[in-house]
Amino acid sequence: MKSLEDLKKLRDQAIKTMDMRYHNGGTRIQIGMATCGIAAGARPVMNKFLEEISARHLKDVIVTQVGCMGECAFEPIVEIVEQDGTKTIYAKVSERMVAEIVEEHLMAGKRLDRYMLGTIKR
Amino acid sequence: MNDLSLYILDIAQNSIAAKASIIEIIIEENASKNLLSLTIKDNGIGMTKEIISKVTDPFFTTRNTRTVGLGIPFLKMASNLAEGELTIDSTLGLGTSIEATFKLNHINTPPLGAIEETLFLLMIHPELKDLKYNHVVDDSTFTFNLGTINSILDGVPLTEPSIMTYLKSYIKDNIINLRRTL
Repeated sequence: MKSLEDLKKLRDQAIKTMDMRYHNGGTRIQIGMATCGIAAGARPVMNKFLEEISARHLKDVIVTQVGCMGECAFEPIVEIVEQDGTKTIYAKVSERMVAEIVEEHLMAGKRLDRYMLGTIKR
Repeated sequence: MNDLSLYILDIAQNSIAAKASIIEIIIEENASKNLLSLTIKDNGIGMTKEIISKVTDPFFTTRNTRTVGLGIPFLKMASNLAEGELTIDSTLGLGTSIEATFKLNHINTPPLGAIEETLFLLMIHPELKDLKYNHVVDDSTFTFNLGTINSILDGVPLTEPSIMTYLKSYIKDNIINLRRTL
């Protein structure tokens, strides 16, 4: 049976390899996690974002859960807020689309028009 | 919603919206009483008697993005379909406790689902200081609390890949183990 003793070991290993510079200044990914979002599949989408981002060691990206975004029919909705305030909204996001959004939007800086509900430039 | 873990995530989001910093989730499965009970307690702002009487109505909501609020009505419906009931106990300034019961062997009783995914999302929620999980299956109990985990991690984020994977499987395995009859 797994116990928390092992967690301590993993923690000590992780601290050797990880980069401690976690900062809040970068890109923010907001995922609608109200009843509509959850029922449409926002939970696996959020978990997938967390996995993809940590696996790729993207240090300046925060993934957060927010309430109802008001467009329940388009859930799961993912809003990406850049450092300059530009917002991109992806609609009906599936787990399958997450890796693509991470690679294209977050890493290559290219918006995926075909998944977008809209964008607000600042 | 297909399973209890999704209802739990949904109701817990209400707690967070009500400014809770501690959430306690209690699941009890009792074969001899043929009862499954799910309780979600928080230390949020609480509700007035008037609001408590309205929250099970799908056309009542406190948010302003739209005029329906389906979280609590969904859970009430799921519980009623399995011959159970939903009870809300809330005190202004102290917090809220919502209990949903289900007949354990009822065909409409939802499965637990991926509870580790729900707990993980709540654990990383910046507004939550502690999350307590207590799962009882007949005579066996699995308890888990975020405070202990955070003190072991001592500053290492929960989202470190190895930690994230470990915690999810830790929760999952321990719950599977609860169900294993001796």
